[in-house]
Amino acid sequence: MNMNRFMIEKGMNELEERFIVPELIHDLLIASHEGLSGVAMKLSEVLSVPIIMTDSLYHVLASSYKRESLEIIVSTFFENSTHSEFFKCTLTIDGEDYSAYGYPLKLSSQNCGYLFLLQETEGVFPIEDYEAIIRYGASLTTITMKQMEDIKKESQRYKDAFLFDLLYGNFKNNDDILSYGAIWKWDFNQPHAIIVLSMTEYNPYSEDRQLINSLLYITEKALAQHGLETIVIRKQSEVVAILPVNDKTTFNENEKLSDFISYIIKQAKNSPIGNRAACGVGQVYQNPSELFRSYQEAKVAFEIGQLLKIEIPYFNDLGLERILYKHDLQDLKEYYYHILGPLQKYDETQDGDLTFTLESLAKHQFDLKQTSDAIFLHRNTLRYRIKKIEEILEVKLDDINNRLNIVAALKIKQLHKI
Amino acid sequence: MSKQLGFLFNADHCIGCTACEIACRNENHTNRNVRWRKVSKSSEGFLSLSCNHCNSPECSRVCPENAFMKRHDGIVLIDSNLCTGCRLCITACPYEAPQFDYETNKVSKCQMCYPRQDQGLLPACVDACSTEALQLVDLENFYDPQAVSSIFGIPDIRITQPSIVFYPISEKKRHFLVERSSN
Amino acid sequence: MQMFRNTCPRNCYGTCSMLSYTENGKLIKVAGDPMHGFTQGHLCAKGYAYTQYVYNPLRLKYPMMQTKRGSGNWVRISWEEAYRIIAEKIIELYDRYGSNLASGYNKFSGNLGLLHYAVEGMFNSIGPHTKSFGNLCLATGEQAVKESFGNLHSPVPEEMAQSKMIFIWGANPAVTNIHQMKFIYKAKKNGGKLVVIDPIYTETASKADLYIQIKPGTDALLALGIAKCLLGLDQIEKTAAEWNGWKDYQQVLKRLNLATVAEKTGVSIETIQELAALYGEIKPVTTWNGLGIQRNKYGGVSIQAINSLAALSGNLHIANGGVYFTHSNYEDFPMNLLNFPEKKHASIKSSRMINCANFAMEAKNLQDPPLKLLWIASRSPLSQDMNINVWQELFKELELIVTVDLFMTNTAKHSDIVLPAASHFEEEDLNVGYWHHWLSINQKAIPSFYETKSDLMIARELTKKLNMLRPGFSTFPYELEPKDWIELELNEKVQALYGLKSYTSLVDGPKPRLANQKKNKHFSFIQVDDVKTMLHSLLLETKGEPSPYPFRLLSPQTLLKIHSQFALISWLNPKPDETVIEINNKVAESLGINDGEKVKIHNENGAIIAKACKNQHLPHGVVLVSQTGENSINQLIGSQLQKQEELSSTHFYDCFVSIKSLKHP
Repeated sequence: MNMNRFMIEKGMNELEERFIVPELIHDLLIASHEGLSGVAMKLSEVLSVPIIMTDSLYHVLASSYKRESLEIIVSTFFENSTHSEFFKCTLTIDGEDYSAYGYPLKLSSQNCGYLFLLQETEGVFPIEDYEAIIRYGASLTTITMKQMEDIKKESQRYKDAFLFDLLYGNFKNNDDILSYGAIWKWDFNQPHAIIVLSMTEYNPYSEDRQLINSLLYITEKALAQHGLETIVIRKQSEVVAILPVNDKTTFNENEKLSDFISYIIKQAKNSPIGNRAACGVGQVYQNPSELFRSYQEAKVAFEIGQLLKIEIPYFNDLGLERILYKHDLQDLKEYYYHILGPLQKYDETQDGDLTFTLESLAKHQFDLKQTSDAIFLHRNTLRYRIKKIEEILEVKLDDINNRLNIVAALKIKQLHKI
Repeated sequence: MSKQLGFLFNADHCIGCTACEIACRNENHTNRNVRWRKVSKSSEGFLSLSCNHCNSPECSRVCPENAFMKRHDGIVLIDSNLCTGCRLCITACPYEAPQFDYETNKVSKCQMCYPRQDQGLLPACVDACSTEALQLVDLENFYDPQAVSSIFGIPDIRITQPSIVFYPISEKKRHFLVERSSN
Repeated sequence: MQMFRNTCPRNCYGTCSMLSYTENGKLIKVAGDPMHGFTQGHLCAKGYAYTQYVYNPLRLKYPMMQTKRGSGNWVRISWEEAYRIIAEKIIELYDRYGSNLASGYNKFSGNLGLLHYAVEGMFNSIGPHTKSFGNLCLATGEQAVKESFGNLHSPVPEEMAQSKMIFIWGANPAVTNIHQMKFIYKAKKNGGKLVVIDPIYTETASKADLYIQIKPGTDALLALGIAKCLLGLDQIEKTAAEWNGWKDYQQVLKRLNLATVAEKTGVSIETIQELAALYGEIKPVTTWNGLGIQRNKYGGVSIQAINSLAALSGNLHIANGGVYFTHSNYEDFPMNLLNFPEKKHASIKSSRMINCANFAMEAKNLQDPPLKLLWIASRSPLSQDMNINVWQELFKELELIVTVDLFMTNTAKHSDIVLPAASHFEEEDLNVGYWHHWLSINQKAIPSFYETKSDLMIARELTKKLNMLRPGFSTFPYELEPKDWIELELNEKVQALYGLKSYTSLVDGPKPRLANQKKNKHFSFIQVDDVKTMLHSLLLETKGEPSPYPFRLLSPQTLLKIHSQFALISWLNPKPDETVIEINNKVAESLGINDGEKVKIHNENGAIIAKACKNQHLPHGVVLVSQTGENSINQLIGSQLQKQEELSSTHFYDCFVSIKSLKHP
């Protein structure tokens, strides 16, 4: 036995004696192999309280309740009495309130979620005693989250490349798409349509960049909740959902789909995105190599929806707008002034609002009753105004061709903000 | 990291010399009426435009042959083998980028000199610009508060989201002759 | 793919070094040469169009002869036949008149390569003949610069980037010198300012921080006015008193009435004071005398007045200041072809010299012997010269007209024999700029296009033919190859100036002139008599009857042509050449002329039809006409040269015209 060997053995003996790793820590570490829920279960077992882990938007990621989906509402915050990072709050689960302690999860000083300890019984809770182990549990949770994120990113890279090619029509052959799709278990044999979600007045140099991630999250969540197996990615300022069209998402019943999109927009309203979320929906394509058209259609619908103030614009439903939006602007302006110029001039010089009246009339299919109800105008007054409009424009409003011209001119006005 | 190659056009620097336009022809040997890049003059100044390799290419959407593709660096290409010369893309593009070639009866357009770029060279037009009025940037990683998304003479960018940004023309001082209104 | 170094030989500020790429002997692509410090790897649009230029189907392919001149009845002939006809004519004329004085040439700047002086060398080798001298383009300015500085010099243009203030008088580099613009922008980026003074709101003017519109021909007055203000502010060069003519100049300024200056120039007193403040307070100021200001009878005075202003303001001898015009670096070279010793004649001492600025008139009037054979190379006088009517009369007197060109120009069409010229990709040459200070080589990159030949090859073969027909007729060393002539130019002095070891150094890249130009500390202010004459003449202009030709005609260079060169290149000029006249909006309206309408431009020299185009920024008394090959505007420009001995360029801008709508006859 030489000296070196001796020294090492001696050292190891000392290590065993002096540095004891508590069994608790070791168990938690082992439990983390089971992912976030493993950590949640173990922590709960050790502390004898229910544990809930959420992301920064309080969406539940894992809990010690053996439930697949769990929704919580975090409401009342109490003053933080101690200097620790715990905060007191109320969690609402299935309509029942629980008082709880929250602990922020941080990854390189960025908040990435919360760990909640539920207080099921009344009485004093020795939270300070738990601080050390909670802090360790929180670190373990963040590391696990980070690992999951990294794995996701890695596979996302290939996925993004595939989806980019899909969305820009780079695949000229369906078989390629089918076989690539199969890698991620996506079945492109069924028809698909594309939904684009984004924010109005998106500014890439502001926090909007982050907010699109929230929108992505909300969309993913909503899809999961609705049991829709949909591919969702973020592309710069957009969230793109590639939606398989089936019983649940049939385009024959637009309401079903609209309900779902409305739900996402509603969710976004409750987030920092506020009422800036907007969308566009492309047409259904059987052929996956034509899906890129649906994507571009969704973006066109998005922009036109903005201009025409349609909440959920379907490319399919766009009529004249599809042609008008890309026509030569100068030509369109000339057309507009040719059709409605005299009326606009009259309004400007006489301080009138006949253009508004005509807009309302067109909006209500030239129906007198509907229009007068909508703009709170007496039927006779409306009749008088229509007569005036006919005089100024020198046309009869009951002629279908004149109506068509007027509707087209009004659409031009809306589309190009004349 | 995603990439979107695009042009940065400095309207203040462009002298309208058309070196970019002709350098494009010198590089790509396009047929007579085919102008992949076009320099134009208006009362406001000069513009040099080619295909803008849009984020949302309308040419691609309307093509019945699916002849367009977009590279991962953002360059939009048309496959002439697939093009039947129907010219729908020409009507769809607000920037007159797709050009009909009467000799081949097909459409062709600026390909941002991808063969040059793949060799590490700049596109011929950018390379030819002596005043740095035309530059190549990765718009995913470009930010300059002085830059704007549209200037005079640029059609509506909303639907297509062209991959081009601009520096506008700055204000300047002029003393024109004051003519006496005798004759 | 093979790469060669070429140099664009056009009469242009650029003299751009270019890289040409060939495949199987075909020119595939051209590019700027990144080794060239002035162009920095860029070309202009015309440069990039050379790939189309070289293989243009309209290029002349074979020697051709026209049985009746001007008939268009061309017959292809062999080079051998062409040489025989020409040589026999030269010899016959020699025998008829006892000398070669009846044979002459008119050559100018179509190709400025040093080996293109083979034309001059060829004529010198046969003894006294009739030759043109002078410079149509810049002789007036050259004389004025020499008056001021004692020599023709112009600073290194790259240095303009370090200037704090750039004054451009009557130049439009955005169109005619695009490579300079990047240095101007660089100066602007460093906080420098660009001031443009021009009667036309040019492309360059539109880029200027400050643009001053001035009445044409009054630059001298404005420069004197600014100088007067500087003198008043006492912001002047301390050593000014040591220079020639200081006292007189001071007196001139003191006596000058600013109100008169403002009235004549159209520039307000406030603006003159604003300009004086810039000239006086900012250093260094760069001044650029554009060629435009010397295309009228006050050109020389204007340049001297501007030079005097730069000197007075203390910007003459400081770094990055100075006055730009053009330089004469070619004078460093032996110019063996140009200066080829004239063969001795028993009785005639030397050749007959004709001022190119008045060539047709003088040539027509020659007697004992009259001019009978004219060799035209590197130009198309029937498009480009003034007095085109007189040229047509001269042609009637000539027995043989030979034109060497790449295209069937207006002049070629009226010649007897047309010889197809090589493009610069098909020949070897050596090129020196007149703006930048670089020297570059031109390699033969591709085989000759059909049967085209260089001027040097033609000189070699024709002199050989002459000697075959009449031994000892020419002394031209026709055995020398182009490379030999290039090496002869690169003598020890030149090698030292450009840091060259040999010919091959230039194959590796263009070289800048190392030695600084001889900067003279000497300076002469503008002379009091010149100012007086100008003032007197300017004051007379406003008196007297209204002219029947009320519009001054300006015909500057256009972007995509050099005069008529490149007019047939469809990449650059896809539409047929058309003369366009720009007229001020209000003037056009008062004449009942609409945009796009055809109008007649006329004066005592003739009339042409042009397409009208309104320009709101044009002075009322000025019209702007584009240059074309056919239907050239120069038909309306007559000779104004008073003193024929005077070395002056052509005053193209002293031409007045009237315009008429064709609608109401």
